[in-house]
Parts: sequence; structure tokens; C-alpha cells
Amino acid sequence: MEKRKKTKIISCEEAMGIMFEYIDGVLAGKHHSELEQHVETCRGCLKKVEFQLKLKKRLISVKPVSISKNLSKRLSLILED
Amino acid sequence: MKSNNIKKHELKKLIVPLFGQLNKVAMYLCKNRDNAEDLVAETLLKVCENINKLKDKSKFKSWVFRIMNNEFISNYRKNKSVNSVQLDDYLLNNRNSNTLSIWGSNPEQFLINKLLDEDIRRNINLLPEEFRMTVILCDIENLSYKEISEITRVPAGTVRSRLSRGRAILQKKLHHIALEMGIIRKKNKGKEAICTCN
Repeated sequence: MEKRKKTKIISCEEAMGIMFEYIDGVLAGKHHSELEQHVETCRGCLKKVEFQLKLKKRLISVKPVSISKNLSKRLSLILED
Repeated sequence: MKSNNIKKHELKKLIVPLFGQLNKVAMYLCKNRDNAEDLVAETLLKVCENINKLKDKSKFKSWVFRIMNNEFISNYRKNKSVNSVQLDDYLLNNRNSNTLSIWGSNPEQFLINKLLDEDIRRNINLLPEEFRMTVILCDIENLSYKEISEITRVPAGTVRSRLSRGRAILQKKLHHIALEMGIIRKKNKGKEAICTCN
């Protein structure tokens, strides 16, 4: 409880400013706590964070395009040279 | 000579597992298979030519992607310099738009479930070039900000800024898909509602 009292209350604008670092897992320390505390009380920002997390997960799941036989042959030739 | 042979042997081990990723990124960058294949092949040629210049093997992956990025940029600038004007126009026209507020209602989960890989590929391909590479490396290849910074040779702050802007544009494009697919529809005075008939 004491820790929570020390966390700075941030605005929606500030929260959105650090949201992408949060979803990319690079937000640390006090900023991480500030964002988490903000979304606990702000439904709008919570939805935006949830959306970005889901979208990121979906983007990573996009299947790679297979390498054509032609490209595979070209790359092998380059490596053999 | 011996050291060169070892390098070549090591190179194969390092580069072959990256072919799939290189091909995927090249497809996003070039937007068509022929150019993408040329870019992958040219990248590999440069990698082979310059492998002896790589001092830190742990940075091999970002080094290879940096070569691909440089190859793409030099070809791009040679052939398509007009696009930088398009980006400026885009930013000018969209400077005041708050794309994050687009999803104020809640069709987002529905849209994400309905998105096809092809929708995602097509819309990432439509991102302005400056943002596309950063979004691809972070959101498709899951590279760190530090790696992206090394590949694109811009400071980490610029990576953050490009990601933020690129994702905002992508989100806006996906919103258009949602409208086109009828997942959401425009209500009077610009408000949107979820269409439940799909």
C-alpha cells in the first residue's frame, strides 16, 4: 500500500506516451508502475493497451512467405562461390 | 586462406537459418516477390563480401539486417525518391489526427480475430517507408529497440518515435478494413457501432 502511494499519478496523455514501451516490454521501474496504476483506473487507456497487446501478438503470428525454389537455388550458388 | 575458409563455413551456419526472416522482411519492404528475391540475393552477396569485417559475431543478425536495410535504401533512393514527398504529405495531412482514439468503441478484438495474414501484409506494405522497416523489425521479427537502432542506425529515441507513428498509421489502416468488412459501421455524426451480422 505504501508503494502505491508513492507512485505518481499520470495523465492519459502521459500514459499513451509510454504505452508502446510498455507493450514491448522495455518499460521499467517507476514508469512501469505509473502506467499500470493508470490503467487500473482508466478504462479508456486500458482498452488501448489491451488492443495494442493483442495486435502485437497477432502481427508476430503472421506466417512467413515460403522461399521459392528459384531463390533457394540463387542463395546456394552465392554461398558456394 | 585458412581463416577465410573457416569464416565461410561459419557463415553458412549463421546465415542459412536467417533466410526465412530475410525473405519475409524483404517481401514487406519490396512489396513484390521478384524485387524481394533480388534484395535477399544482393544482401547475401554483400554479407559474403564483407564477412571478414564483422568483428563481433554476436551482432551477426543485426549486421545482416543492416546490410539489407542499406541495400533497400540505396535501391529505393535510386528508383523511388518521389516517395519521400508522399511521406511528408501524409504526415502533414495526418498531423492532428488522434489514431489512438479510433478504437474508443470496442470492435478491436473482433477485428483482430478476423484479420487475415494477407490483410496484415498488405497494410504493413502500405506504411510509409521510414516507418515500415521499424514496424517490421519490432512487430514481425520481434527484435529489440537496441537491435533495431543498430540496424537502422538511428538513436533508440527515433526507433520509439517511428514505432509509435508507424503503429498509429497501421491502426488507422486496420480501422478502414473494419469499416470495409462491415465489422464496424459509421453511425450519424461519425460514431461507430459494431455490426453483429458477420
